Amino acid sequence: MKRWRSWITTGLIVLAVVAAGYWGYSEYRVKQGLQNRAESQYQRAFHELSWHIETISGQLAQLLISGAREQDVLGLATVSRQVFAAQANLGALPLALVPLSKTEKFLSDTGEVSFAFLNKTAQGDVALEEADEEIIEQLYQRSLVLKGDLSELAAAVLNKKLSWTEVEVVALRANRDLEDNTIINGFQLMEKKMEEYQEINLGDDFAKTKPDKKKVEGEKEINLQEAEEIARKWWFLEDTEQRGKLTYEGTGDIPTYGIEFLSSTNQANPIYIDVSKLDGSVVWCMRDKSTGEAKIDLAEGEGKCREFLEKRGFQSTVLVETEREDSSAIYTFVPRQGDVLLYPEQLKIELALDDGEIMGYEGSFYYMYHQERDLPEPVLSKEEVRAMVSPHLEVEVIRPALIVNYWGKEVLTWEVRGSYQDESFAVFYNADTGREEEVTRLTPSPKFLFDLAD
Amino acid sequence: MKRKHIAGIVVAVVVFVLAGAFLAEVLNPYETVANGKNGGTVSSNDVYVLAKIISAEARGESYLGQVAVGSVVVNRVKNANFPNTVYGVVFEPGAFEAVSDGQYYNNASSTSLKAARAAINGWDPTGGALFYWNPAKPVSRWIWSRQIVTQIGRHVFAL
Repeated sequence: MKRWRSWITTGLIVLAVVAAGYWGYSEYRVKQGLQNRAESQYQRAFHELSWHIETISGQLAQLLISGAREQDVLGLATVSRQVFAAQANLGALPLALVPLSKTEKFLSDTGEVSFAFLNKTAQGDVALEEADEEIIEQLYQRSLVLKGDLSELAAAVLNKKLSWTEVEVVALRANRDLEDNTIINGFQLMEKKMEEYQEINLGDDFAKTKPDKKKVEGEKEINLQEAEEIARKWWFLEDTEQRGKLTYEGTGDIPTYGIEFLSSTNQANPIYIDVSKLDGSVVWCMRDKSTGEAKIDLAEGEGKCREFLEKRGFQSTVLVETEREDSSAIYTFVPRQGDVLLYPEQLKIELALDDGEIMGYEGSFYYMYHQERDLPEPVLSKEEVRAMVSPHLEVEVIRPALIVNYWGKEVLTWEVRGSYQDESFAVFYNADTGREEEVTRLTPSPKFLFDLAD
Repeated sequence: MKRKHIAGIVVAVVVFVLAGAFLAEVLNPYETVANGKNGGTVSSNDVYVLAKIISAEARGESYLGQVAVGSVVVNRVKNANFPNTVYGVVFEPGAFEAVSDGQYYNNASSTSLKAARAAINGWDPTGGALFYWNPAKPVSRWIWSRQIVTQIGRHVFAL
């Protein structure tokens, strides 16, 4: 009897141990497989990065030695494409916690320069000029550093069997010292070398329109009490017992006081109002609000937005875009100077479509870029522009508009809005030259329904 | 007698290990996707991805704090030194703890969806911040070298 029992016990133990062992081993295999897959993706990204940088460097040199426009166009297109791929590969590596801003800056500069020069050489009849080549020469010098360091590091990774998944583990654990690692060391060293180079002066062609300095830096003019009063009057428009409190102070793009008021109807959801410390302007406001079933339509909502804007001093605005989501909508307005729409000064209003209450106002562009502008008369007439429009576009409206173009500069244009089948577009023609400065697709994105956690 | 005890212990340990393995399978964060009652419509998938990362990274933060976290993602997309899409920024290896530990894969909350819409439309309480962290938690040393621009809730935000 006793013997019989001990046999069973032994059998059970053996069975359990075998089961546990089998389970453990298969888990280990799965884990190993996943890790190998992650490692192989990192290896691909890293070696490709090194290869792209080498190609970029070689192409930059080729641009310098060739004088033919056709070769320049090809070379610039190659650089532009390789930069894009290099950026994607760099972004796929677990280096998020390693500061590489100079290395990344090199890539973005090279991308911007090559695209701009490509634009110039492909559209005009000119090859690269001396000043352009000076910029390329500077980029080339920097590319040599990256090329050398990356290929050296790539050789070390191959030779010493260094693992990127290990880098990821180290990088994720904040307490571990990042420095005792060849890969991270290599990238940090490369970044240090890049820091020694001065920032490249890309010249006026690349200078972007910047906000008025008075709006973003300078002496603080407003104290907290004044800001609270400004915010209160701006939001409530009437006398109220409500007092706001400071939620935070911002020192980012615009120095501000963040003031918070409890809403009279919903105590749980305060209204946040951001007031500039420099001139007391309200930069934006927002609040969380649960919205029920939509009871008002978009046109009625537009009226509510206009009323809100007019009571706060915006008399002449044009609605340029409406985006509806569930039972709220975001309206984009632009102010006008004379007949000209000022896109750089756009304002956004978020409105609840159940009770028509304002949920948010976003005026940071208006705050930073608003000014009385010296706008010349367009050289081209409306009729001349109409004649330029593609016959495929069914034109709805043509109006003068100031926009910020691809290169970050303000240009006076004629805006042509229209549709092609189900797609709608705005095409902006330079008001002086007729060049197409920008084509914007306005077709609303398709809507998807998602499950939410609450 | 003694052998019996040892056998019992071995069986208990093995059962315990197997039970642990079973629980680990059941509690796998990748599979805890709760089926929410309420749905939300989103005009493009990147808004929902943004809502999910906000939901996972800024749980328990105020609406303002949630928009702020969303703004950091949006500011990175606009910055030349980071990937150019919401997807690229969110899934950059090691960039967000919630993606690494799998919390990202839960459904987004309704507040985070609103916060994501606001952030993508330009509401930015951080004034252009590119980083944030919780100063009460251990973080990488170099991150403290960034210029802090504000603190909202538990997070500090930096350029």
